[in-house]
Amino acid sequence: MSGELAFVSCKVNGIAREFHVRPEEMLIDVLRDRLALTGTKLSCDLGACGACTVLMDGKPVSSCGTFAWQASGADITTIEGLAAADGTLDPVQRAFVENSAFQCGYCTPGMIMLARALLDRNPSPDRDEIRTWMGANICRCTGYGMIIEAVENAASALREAAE
Amino acid sequence: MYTHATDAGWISRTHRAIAPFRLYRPTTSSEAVQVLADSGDAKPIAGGIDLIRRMRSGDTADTLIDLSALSGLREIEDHGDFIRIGACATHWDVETSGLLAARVPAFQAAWKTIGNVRIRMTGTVGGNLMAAERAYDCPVLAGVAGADLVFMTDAGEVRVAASKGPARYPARSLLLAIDVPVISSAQLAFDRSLKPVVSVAVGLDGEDATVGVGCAHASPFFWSGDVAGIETALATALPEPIDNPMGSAAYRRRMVTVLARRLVEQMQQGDAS
Repeated sequence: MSGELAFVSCKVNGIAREFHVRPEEMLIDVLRDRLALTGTKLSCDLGACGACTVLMDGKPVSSCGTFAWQASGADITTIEGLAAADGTLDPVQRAFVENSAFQCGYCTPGMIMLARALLDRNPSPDRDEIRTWMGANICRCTGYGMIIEAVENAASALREAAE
Repeated sequence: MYTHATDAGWISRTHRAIAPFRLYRPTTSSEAVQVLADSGDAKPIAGGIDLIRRMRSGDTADTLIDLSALSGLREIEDHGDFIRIGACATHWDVETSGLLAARVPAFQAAWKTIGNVRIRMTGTVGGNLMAAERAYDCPVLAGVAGADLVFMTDAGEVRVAASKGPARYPARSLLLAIDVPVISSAQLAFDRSLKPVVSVAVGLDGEDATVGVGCAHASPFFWSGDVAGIETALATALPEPIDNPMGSAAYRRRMVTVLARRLVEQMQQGDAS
């Protein structure tokens, strides 16, 4: 019954990808292992902490809690897909740097992807919305204050760029 | 083996291995039900939030039935005196539905408190209900709202009141939808601030109250009666709660009645959220 491979066709950071995966293979392993996109971090391995957050069709998902075949037909964005081709940082990445919104940095890729998903939906979130939204992911060393300020600053930068 | 070498260096891999299974991708609900009926250990998967967590902790299945290609299971439709929410609707679908906001706003407001945004965008209504976890919120809310669960079995459709609990769900069936009654005079409020010790939802329609209690027993407990004297009546009817280091039975019992009373007072003062 087992052992049959599943075919996955998807886009990862704008590039079309095709794989045959074991049904039990996780999305995070495909990203990190097959595509060497190691910016997506493995931590709790239970979908709880959010360090492995990537965007799947714009939604923030835990790649450690998603089977690879569930990404079939999807548009996946990882932290490596945010910066421009010339290396210019995404406004969210830049805001995290400017606000020193990381210490060990392990949760940062997931935090940035989560924040990006928020600002894609709502370019002007208030502080409570940011706190609630970013509460999905866990940081154990920075403290959340600077992360929230970074998201507020990123939102301002995005609004200014749009004007 | 948790790491291995690739061109990118040593890669840390997921260390909670999932036992191999067969993946089945039906295109109709009937096909899915047939596999459930024929297989000894097949499980449906939609968002996978709960199922994958369980499988990473050692649960097994010989077959997973991917529901993503089944049409109609994610729709939210107005049927006049009830709203039908497809079992594969995500919590985010419920949270952002204009139809639910217009027709059952208190139900929608309570649902918005479930999980975090990653869970709400992927996890489904049906997955939460069928997980039958005592600390999950959907069974409590659905029961207090007076919802019916609509299952497809190989013998046809079966309706079960959500308040009957998982023990009454038909075996080897597929949950198709949850039917939420539209009662314009009814209010609903939910307090999950003491999870995982206890959660309480209260429905109020005039003097008639319905209380749903989560976390405190193996499956949700429901009580209906007159809102006057609700604390005493609820305390009398409440079965002995779970007693463990997370919360004593006495504490859970006390908090059930306190939270129920507070929610009633909020609704009576027009302050439910």
